[in-house]
Amino acid sequence: MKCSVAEDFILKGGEFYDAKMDHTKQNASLKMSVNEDVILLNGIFTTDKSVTSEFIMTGIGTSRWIQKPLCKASLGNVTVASKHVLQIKGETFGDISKGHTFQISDGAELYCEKVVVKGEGEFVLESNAMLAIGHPEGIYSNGAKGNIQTQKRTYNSGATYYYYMNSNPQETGVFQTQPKQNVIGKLIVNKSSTSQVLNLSQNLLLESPCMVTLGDIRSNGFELKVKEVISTAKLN
Amino acid sequence: MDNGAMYIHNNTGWFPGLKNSLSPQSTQLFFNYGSNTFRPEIKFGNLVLDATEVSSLDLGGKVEQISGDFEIRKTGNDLSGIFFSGNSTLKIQGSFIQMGGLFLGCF
Repeated sequence: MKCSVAEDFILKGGEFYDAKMDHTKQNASLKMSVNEDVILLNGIFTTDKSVTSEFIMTGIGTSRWIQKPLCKASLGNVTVASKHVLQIKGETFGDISKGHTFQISDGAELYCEKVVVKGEGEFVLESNAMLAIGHPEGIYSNGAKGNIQTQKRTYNSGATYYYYMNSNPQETGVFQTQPKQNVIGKLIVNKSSTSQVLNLSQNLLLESPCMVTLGDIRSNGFELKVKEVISTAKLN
Repeated sequence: MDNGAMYIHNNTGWFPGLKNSLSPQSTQLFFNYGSNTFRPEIKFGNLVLDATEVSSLDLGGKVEQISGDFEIRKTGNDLSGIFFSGNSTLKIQGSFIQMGGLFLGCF
């Protein structure tokens, strides 16, 4: 089934499932695309009944994912499509279930604030996508630390990593990128005030110059190199 | 039906009219429905399901176009819901709003 929603998806109560499964309909799936906000206030929201179901945030522009703890959410595949910006607002985000993926597509952006994305599934940040990190611990490839805490995490070396919000100090976190290790496409720091700092938690090689809009970066004993000029940035 | 108009359906029979013109801000409210109520050629305005005593219903190939919001309030008792069989499509030009009931997705 394909379902497109041009405006908001709002769950205030009741139960929403992607698929009514039984042994004769294993291939059934729901592809649901939403152009504007997803607001989950109460009830049950389950999109992991089918391994091929997909919940797609799409359209050119910005939308919000607002989820309250009263809503019990089990997420299947969630995709932020190219040119779409998704801002996670509010208190929580549903668990990505085992065998499913939360994918930030090439050209898409995800703003996490301080909310943790977790679950037994996978998080994939594609090349040219942007991940905005507001958690004080940054992001990690392993362990229950930082914004992304899914079982498997894939951070692309061609993506943009944007550190923001008011945590002070904020850590970059320790994360592996691929296909190039410890390389990131762009690093942007845009804290809430000039006095707030981002501490490096590992050596990083940037594919393009670092952009500090507001705040500062501290080396914390690590190196930040810019590939184009092959020089170590001067850090306090 | 013009914008602002409301139609209330409270039986298990067909939605009336061989041809329908339902403006995006008109509302079609269903307190009851059955397997023959919905047809794919109907482009609803705001479609509201608020039915207390109905069985589960397959809307696949029957509800395909909603030019306003799709609002689900009640779909019968706790075990009754709506689902969409086959390779069906549903295009909602407004919002999907669920306040109660059971949306069972595809089947």
